[in-house]
Amino acid sequence: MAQASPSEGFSFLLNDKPIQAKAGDSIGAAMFRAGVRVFTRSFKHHRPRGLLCVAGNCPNCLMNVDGTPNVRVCTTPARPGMRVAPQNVFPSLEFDVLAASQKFDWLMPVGWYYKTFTRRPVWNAVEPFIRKAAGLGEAPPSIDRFSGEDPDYEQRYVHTEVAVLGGGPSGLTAALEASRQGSRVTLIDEQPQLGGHLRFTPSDAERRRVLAGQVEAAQGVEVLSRAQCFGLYEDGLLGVVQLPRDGGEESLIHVRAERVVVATGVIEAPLLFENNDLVGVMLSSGVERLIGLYGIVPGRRAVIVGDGPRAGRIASLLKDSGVDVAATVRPDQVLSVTGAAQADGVRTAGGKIPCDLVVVCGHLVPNAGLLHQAGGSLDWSDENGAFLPTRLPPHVEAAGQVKGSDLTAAVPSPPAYPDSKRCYACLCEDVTTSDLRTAIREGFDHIETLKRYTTVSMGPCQGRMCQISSIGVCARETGGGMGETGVTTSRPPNPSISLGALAGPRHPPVKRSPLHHEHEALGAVWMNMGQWKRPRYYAPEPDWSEQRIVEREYRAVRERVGVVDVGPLGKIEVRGRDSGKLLDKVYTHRFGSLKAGRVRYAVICDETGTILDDGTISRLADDHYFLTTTTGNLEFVVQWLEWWLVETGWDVHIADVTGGRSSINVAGPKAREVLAELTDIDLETAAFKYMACRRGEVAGAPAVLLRIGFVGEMGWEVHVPADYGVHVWRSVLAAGKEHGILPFGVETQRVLRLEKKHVIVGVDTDALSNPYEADIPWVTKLEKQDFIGKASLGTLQSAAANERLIGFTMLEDGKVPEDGSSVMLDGRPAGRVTSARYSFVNGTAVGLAWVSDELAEEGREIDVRVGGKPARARIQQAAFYDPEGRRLRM
Amino acid sequence: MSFRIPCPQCGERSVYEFRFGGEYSIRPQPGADEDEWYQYNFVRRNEMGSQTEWWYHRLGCRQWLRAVRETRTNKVIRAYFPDETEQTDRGPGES
Amino acid sequence: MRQLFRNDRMWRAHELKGAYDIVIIGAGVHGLATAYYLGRRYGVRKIALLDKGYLGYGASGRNTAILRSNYRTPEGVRFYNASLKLYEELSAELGWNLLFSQCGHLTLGHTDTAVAGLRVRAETNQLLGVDSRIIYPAEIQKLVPHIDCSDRPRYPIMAALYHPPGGIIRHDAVVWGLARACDRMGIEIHPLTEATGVRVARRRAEAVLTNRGEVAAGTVVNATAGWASTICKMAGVSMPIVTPPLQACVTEPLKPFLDAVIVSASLHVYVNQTGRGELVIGSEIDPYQSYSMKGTLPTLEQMASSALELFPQLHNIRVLRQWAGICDMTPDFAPIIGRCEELDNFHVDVGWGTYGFKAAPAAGRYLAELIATGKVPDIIAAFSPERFRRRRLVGEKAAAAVSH
Repeated sequence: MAQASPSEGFSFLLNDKPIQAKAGDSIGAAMFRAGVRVFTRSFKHHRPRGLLCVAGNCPNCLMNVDGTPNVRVCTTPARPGMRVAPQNVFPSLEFDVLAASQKFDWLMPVGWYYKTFTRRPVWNAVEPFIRKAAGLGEAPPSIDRFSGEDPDYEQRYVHTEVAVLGGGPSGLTAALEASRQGSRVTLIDEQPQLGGHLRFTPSDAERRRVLAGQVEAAQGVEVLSRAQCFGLYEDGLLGVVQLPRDGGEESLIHVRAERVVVATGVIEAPLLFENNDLVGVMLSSGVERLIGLYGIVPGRRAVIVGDGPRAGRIASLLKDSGVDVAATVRPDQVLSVTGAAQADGVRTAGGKIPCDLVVVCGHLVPNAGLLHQAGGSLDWSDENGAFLPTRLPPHVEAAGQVKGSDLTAAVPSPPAYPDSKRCYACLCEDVTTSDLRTAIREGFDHIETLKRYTTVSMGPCQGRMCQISSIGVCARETGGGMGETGVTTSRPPNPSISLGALAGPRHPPVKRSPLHHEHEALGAVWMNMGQWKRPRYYAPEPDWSEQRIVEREYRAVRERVGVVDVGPLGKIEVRGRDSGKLLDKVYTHRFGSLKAGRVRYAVICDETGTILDDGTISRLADDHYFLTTTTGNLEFVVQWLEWWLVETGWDVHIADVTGGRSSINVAGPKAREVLAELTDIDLETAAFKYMACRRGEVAGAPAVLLRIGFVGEMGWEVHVPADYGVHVWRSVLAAGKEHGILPFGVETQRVLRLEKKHVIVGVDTDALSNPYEADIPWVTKLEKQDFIGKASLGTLQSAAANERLIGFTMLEDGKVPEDGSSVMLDGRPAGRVTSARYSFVNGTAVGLAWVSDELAEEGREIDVRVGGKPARARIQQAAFYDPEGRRLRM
Repeated sequence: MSFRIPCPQCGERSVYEFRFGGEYSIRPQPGADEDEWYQYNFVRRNEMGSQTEWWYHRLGCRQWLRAVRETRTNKVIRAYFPDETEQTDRGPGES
Repeated sequence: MRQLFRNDRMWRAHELKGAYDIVIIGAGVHGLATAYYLGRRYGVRKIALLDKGYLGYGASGRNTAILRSNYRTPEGVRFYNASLKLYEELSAELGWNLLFSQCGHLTLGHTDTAVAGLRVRAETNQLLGVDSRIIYPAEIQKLVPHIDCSDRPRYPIMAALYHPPGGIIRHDAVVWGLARACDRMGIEIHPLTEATGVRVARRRAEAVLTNRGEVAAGTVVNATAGWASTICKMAGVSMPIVTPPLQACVTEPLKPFLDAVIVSASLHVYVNQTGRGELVIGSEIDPYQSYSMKGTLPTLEQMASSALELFPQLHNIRVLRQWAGICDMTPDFAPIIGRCEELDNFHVDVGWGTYGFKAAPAAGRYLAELIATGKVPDIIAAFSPERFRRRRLVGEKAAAAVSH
C-alpha cells in the first residue's frame, strides 16, 4: 500500500485514527508530533514505553506497519496510506491488563521458570499459558490467510577496493582520502543524506554541506544511502541491507572489499536509575534528532541528567527550541524518575523537580560490533569510558568516534546503580539491575552465562542499549574491572535483516529434458528427480487410477513397444589413449579389455567397498568410451574420475555431455521393427548382440545406440545430440504407431525393472551397501591388478554379511508393501523393503529388501509389514520375469 | 562459507564455487596390510591448524587443486594444481 | 516453590587438586551427564570436569535443542529413546526445570526417496514402541496451519514423519541443572581450564596437563564436541572424525504460532519457535572442515531461502543473530562411545555430529556404567570405537541427514 516519497503533507492511520505527516517524517516522528507518547508495551511487565533513541536502536517503538511486525517506527519513513498498529498490548496501548503482572513480579524473579513446575504433568499443563505470553510481534498469517504475495527482494553484488562504513564526518573524510589516493570507494551510510550526526546539529550544517558536497563530487566514490552493514564476514565480505528510496522492500547487497574503514560512530545507551524506562525519558541524541531532523519540540519542561560540556550543549539546544530547562543533575544525584504512565519529575536528595521530559546524557558506546566480528578485540579504556577496538586484522581499520576519538566517559566506571526492581538494564527483556545481581549471586558471574541466564542483550536491540550497563553491573558485583569482565561475542546480522531480503529472489533451478514439451503435450504427470522434471506417467484421462495408467503403459512395453525419455541420465565421454586404464582403476569390472562395440554394466565402489554409483560403459573405439551414470550422481562421478586422474600423467580427457544429448530407450518385442524403419544399422541379433553398441544415424540424426535391457525387453538406448531430440522422439512415435507404441514414464519403468530384479543405486542400495551383500558379486574382478576398493572387496568377499539384498514375492493377494516397509521376525524389525510394486506378470506384489543374513535363504518365508500388519512373502533370488533373459536377446 | 580460494587458474574466487574433497593423504600401495587401509579409509588428522586438502573448482575451471588452509581462520595460505608442485607429493592413485 | 526465593550458588569455584579418580575433559552436557550418573548411581564423586570455556561455551550452548527418538536403525532407536525417556523425567529429578516442550516433531519428505526413508524410520520406530507415523499433507496442514502444503513450492511436501514425543528443550538449562546437581555431590566443575596435553605411560593416561596445572587421573574421559580429534591426539589416540561447522540463526520474537518442530531433509533446513517466541532456523553442516565458529553469509541466505519455501509469509520477519558451532562427524553418523583400544583408562564419548544434545542423558548414564563396572552395556555396544576396524558401521546416515 506504500507509495512513493511524498513532497507535501499527507496522512497515515494509527489504528483507525489519521495522523498527519510532513515530507521526510518517520512514522514515529509524525506520531510524536501528533501527541502520541506511548508506542508499545514492554515484553514482560507490559510497561508503557515511548521514544527513547529515535535512531532505531532500542525496542521502545516497535509497532506493526502494514502487517509487518516489529517495525522501528522512529526511523522508518512514513508513507501515505500506511496502517500502523501497536503490538504486545492487551487490549490497548493506553490500558494493558497484563501490566498488572508487575504486581506479581516478586513471584517471577530472574530465572523463575527454571525453579518452578519441575514435575512433568504440571509443566505440560502450565507451558501453553507461559508460551502464549511470549513474543512481541504479531504472528504471521496462517497459510490459508496468506495472500501468496511474493514481494520483490533484490540482491546486488558490489566489488570495491575500499568500503567505508558511516557517512558522518570521519567516514566522509576517509572516503575522500581513499579516493584521492586513487582507490575505488564505496561509502555505506544509514541515513538518507550524508552527514551522520552533522545532520541534526544546526551548528554543523555548513560543515556537513561542504564535506558531503566533496564526496558527491569525487570520482570513484559510490555512495549507498539508507544502507547499513550488518555483518563483516570472512575475506572482506560485507553484508549490507539497504532501504529503497521510494518504498518497497529492503534489499541485500554483497560487498567484497579489499579494505574496510569502519566509521560507524557511537551509539548512546541509557543510564541506570530507578524508573529509567518511563515514557518521557529520552536520550540526548534522541532529543537532538527530534529537533534537528523533524523540527519537533520534545517537551515543555526538561531535566537534564548529565554533566560537563555535553549537558551544556543539550541545555542550549533545548532552550533554543523553546524548552524550559528546569535543572541539570549529575547521574549519581538521581534517585528516581517519578510518574505513573509518563515521567512527571526527577527526584534527587533535594526533592522532586517537576518536568515532562528527562534528557539523559547516556553512555557513548562505540558502534564497534563489526570490528569485533572481523576479529578485532574490544579493550576497555577508563579514560574514554568505552570498549575500544584494537588488534584489527590487516585489511580493517577504524576511524572517528568508533575508535574512541573525542570520547569521554559519561559516568565513572563501573557505573553505580540502584539494586532495584524498577531500574531497567535491558529494555527488550525487562531485565532489571535486581535481576542481574541475583543472577550473579547464583553463580552466573561470567558475562556470557549472565547473558544467557537473564536473557539480557538477547532481544531486538541486540545489546545496543544494554550491553554496557550489564557489563558494568557484572564488573561491580564480581569486583573485576570492566576490561576483565569483557564483552559478549558480537554476532551478525546487526542490525537485523529480514528473511526475505536474505533469501532474495527465489528461483530454485529446474532441469528439463530436451523433450520436455513433448511430454507436456502427451499429458505427462510430472515428478521431481533431483532438479529434473520427469514424467511419472502419461494420463490418458484425468479420472484414470494410477494402477490403470501404469498397466496400460506396462502392457505396451511387454507386449508391443514403448519409449521412455532417459535424458536425465548422466552421460560422460572419456577419450584418450589411457582411457581403459583409468576405467580399470576406478570401476570394479574390467574395461581396458572390453572390446570395441561392447557394453558392460559398471559399478564404482569406494575404498571401503561401498557402492557409490552404477551405470553402463560402452567402448565406442579403442580410445573412446561412453559412460552413463545415475541421474543424481553425475557430478560426483565426473569429479571422481578427474580426481583419480590427477598426477598420473595419463592421456585421458573427460567430458560431461549430459545436457548435450537427448537420450531415449525404445523397448519391447516390436522395438526392432520400429527402429529398423529409422536406421540403416543392422539391428538383427547376429549383427547387433545384446550388450553391444553401434554408431550410425537414427531418423537422420547422428546417434549412438546401446542394446541394453533395464526393463527386461529387447530394446535400444538411443543417444543423439540434444537438438535432434524432438525430431527423433517424434519419428520413433510415428514409426511405432502401427505397432501400438506408447510413451512410458518413470513409474512404469520402475515396475518393469523390478520384475527383473534390477537394482537402482541410491534406492535399493545405501551408504553401507557393498556388491556382495547387494547380490551383484560378479561386478568385482578381484584379479585385476589394482582398483579402487580392491583391498576391502577382497576381505568382504569372504567376510560374514551384516545383511543381504533379496527379492521377495508376496504370498497374499492385494498386499502391496510401500517402499520402506519393515521386514519382521517375531515382531522385531529384521529388514526393510527398498522397492515393492504390484507385478502384473506375478499376480501379487514383488520387491527387493535388505534382510539380516540369517533370513536370507531361497524360499524362506518372511513377514513384510503392510498397513501396519505382517503379511506373508517368500524370498526368491531369481528374477520374477524372464529369469534367463531370453526376451532381451531376441 | 565466505572465504576465498586463490585458484591457480582463475584467481581469487568465493569458496562457494568449489567442492571440498577432504584432507590430503597418500593412498596405500597395493599389497598394504589391513591396518594401513584402515588408517587411510577411516582415520583422519582433522587438523586444528594448517591443513593440506583437496578442492574441485566446479563452477570455474573444473580442475582439482590442493590448498593449504588454516582451519581456525579459514585463511588459505596457498593453492596449487598438484602437477605443478616441486615437492614429491604422491597423489591418490599412483601406479 | 522455595527454590524461587533461594539464591544459592549453582556451582562453586574450586582450586584444581593434584589428582582425581576421574578427569572428564569437556563440561558440556555429555561430560556433566557422565559425572552426574557416576555420582548418583555409583557413588563415584572424586571427579573433575574441565572445560576450556565458560559453562555452555561449546556445542551445548550452540545447538538448537531438539529432542527426538525417531531414528533409523534399531540400535539408534533404542538408544535415543532411552535418552528421551530420561529427559522426560530429568527436570523433576534435578529439581530444575529444563523447559522440555514435547510439542511434536515433523520430518518432511519432498521426494519419493525421502518418503521411503521416512517410512523405514516409521516402521522401525513402531516396532520398537516409539510413537512415530507417516502423515500426509491434509493432516500436516491441520497440525501446522502456517506451513505451505500447496503445489506452490518447487518441491511440494509429499509426506511427513510425525513424532509426537519429540520437541525442544532449553539447552542452557540442561547444562546448568546438571552442573548444579554435580556440584551438590561434591563433583568439581572447572570452567576456563584448558587441557593442553595428556601424559601417557605404560598404556595409561596418567595425567591431564592444563593451563592451571597438572592433574593426575585414574580414568580420563574425552567428552568434547568439536575437539575430539585434538584431545585424542594428545593421548596418542586416533579418531575417524572430521569437523565441519554447523550454523543456525534466530529471529525476533513473535507471538506463538508454530507448535511443532519442523525439519525438512530435502531442503536442508529446520524451524521451530522457542518459548520466548523467537524462531530458530537451522541448516545442515557446511560442506567443508573448519574450526571457525563464525556464521557465514551464504549459509544465512540459504537458511532464509529454505525457511521461506516452507513458510513464505515469514518474509518480513527479521533475523537477530546467527552463530556456528563445530560438529565431530563420523563415517556412519553415529557416535563413538567406549574405551579406546590404545590405552587402558582412556574413554571417549565423542563423534556426536549434529545429534548429540538429545543423547546426553543416555550417553552419560551408560558411559558411567561402563566406567564404573568395566562392562559395555548392550545399548551402546554398537557405538564402540572398534567398529570401523571391524566394518560394523551403524546405518544411521539417512536419518541424520539434517542437523536436528
